[in-house]
Amino acid sequence: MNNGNIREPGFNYLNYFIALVILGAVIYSAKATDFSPGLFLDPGNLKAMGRFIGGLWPPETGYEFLASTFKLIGETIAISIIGTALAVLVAFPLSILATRLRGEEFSRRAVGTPRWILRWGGYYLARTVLNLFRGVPELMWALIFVVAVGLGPFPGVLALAAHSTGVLGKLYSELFESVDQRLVETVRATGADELKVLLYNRLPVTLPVFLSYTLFRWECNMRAATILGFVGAGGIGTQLMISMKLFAYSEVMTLVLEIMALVILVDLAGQFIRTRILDAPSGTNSEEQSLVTKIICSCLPSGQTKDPS
Amino acid sequence: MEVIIARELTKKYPGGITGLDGLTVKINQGEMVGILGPSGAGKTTFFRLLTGVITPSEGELTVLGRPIGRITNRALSRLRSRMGVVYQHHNVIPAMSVARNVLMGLLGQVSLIKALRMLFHLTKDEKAAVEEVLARLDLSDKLYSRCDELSGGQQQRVAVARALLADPELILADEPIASVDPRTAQLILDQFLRLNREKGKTVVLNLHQVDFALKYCTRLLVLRQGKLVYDGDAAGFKETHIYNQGFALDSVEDIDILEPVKGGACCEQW
Repeated sequence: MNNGNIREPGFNYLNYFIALVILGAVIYSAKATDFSPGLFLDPGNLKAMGRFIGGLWPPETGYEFLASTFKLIGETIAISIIGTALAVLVAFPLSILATRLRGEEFSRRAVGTPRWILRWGGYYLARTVLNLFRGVPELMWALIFVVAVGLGPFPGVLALAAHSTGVLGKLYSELFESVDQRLVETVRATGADELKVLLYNRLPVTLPVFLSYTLFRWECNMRAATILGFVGAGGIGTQLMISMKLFAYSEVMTLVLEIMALVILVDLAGQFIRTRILDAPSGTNSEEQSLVTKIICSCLPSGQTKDPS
Repeated sequence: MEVIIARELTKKYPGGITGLDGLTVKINQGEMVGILGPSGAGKTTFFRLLTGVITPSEGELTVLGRPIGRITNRALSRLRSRMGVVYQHHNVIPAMSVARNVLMGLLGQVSLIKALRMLFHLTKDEKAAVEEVLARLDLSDKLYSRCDELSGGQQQRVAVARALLADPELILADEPIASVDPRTAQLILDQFLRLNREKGKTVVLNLHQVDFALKYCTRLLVLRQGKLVYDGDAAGFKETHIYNQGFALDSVEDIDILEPVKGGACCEQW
């Protein structure tokens, strides 16, 4: 249908205007934030940095200090795990409500106005709740929960759970929406209601990505858990804050090294498991599956190798 | 007793395309009906109206006594649990086993708790029922295979097994044999015919292949551009000018290769 109407895009003034606006925004932001790299070379600052860096080495390796930090690292990991688990529990039902149902059978004309309003009311309510949860960052949630339930790891757990609920709920619902509509119709044609469609189509089809998202969220929570202590919400951040304030820079060095090692390890572990999930064998006949694959496959509805037949 | 009653049934899609234009037809219990027509004639539109996936723009459609487009989602689910539905494509959930895909045929009749339990554990009775219906379709050895490892013809047979499992009153199939080999096509249609003859079930099939329709169906509905142009027995259809005008073209010898294909826009969604 090319009737000679296709022309090469020409000079567009709007694009140049947009580029100028962006450039202006960069310059203004630098001024507004007192951007001045020269401050690093200020003699007073150089001296302070020198003291700080000089104090970092050697790292504190006293037995008691190490033992206490390992305990805190354990607490950090625990906070991230229970926070993520709680988030999954709350996000999953919310995501079901926040999944947009497609199809004429859900139109206002087909179901009647009251039901239609109820369904879409639920949808927008769930979306709003998820947006609120997601819109407030973890650290701010931690501040709120420290006020609500006092100091310690528990407000940290709640803070991670609150923010992750918002993130996971949105990701889950979009995942469920992404399922091929024709497969959804196939399952609906059996007389299945939407919850059964979820069980037999949306969830099994998206399970690898579902698990991958969840795992990735756990990694994020792990990193976030290391700084929750800054506001008194438990974890290794508590000690980091104390050591900073006492100018015990050798302790800070130990803590920073430990946190770096922890984050790297969690990243590697997450990467490993996620690759296993996404590359999960399509066949379940292989006897040479690793333990992780076996666990994940046993979650899959087709994991029927050991079913007595 | 009428199983399907369509009165002046019209479906207009957003965008102004008319899928079905004033169809009036009654289908009685125990009939084996084949619906024929070129692409875009409205076969799939009619099929999707029958399954309640889309709703009529004008006119009325009653299936098993329920008015399509004017019932709640729950009533629609109940209605669907009385039908066995087979599509041309996208019939099976690829990540799941054959057994689970077949068991889906029961989803309209079981509670949510039972549906959840069936995902992880099958009772002896359920397993026996699935095995029995798979045996009829020559798929016994595939009980626990993943569906995405099956061939297209095997997947289609899984879909038929699912449709048959719940002993439906009405069987609807949209081009069930359009993309399978002739042997599988015969196997599938034989199953439908047996249910029709032995149990008096109503069967409505959208078909492309005229020869199969003439052989299996007692009544043919022929659609063209959304309108019903023939309604009668299979033998009579061969005598009509409609048959000679285009439907006789069902062998490759009649096709001029490298000739531009004529025909209107396809209004069928998929």
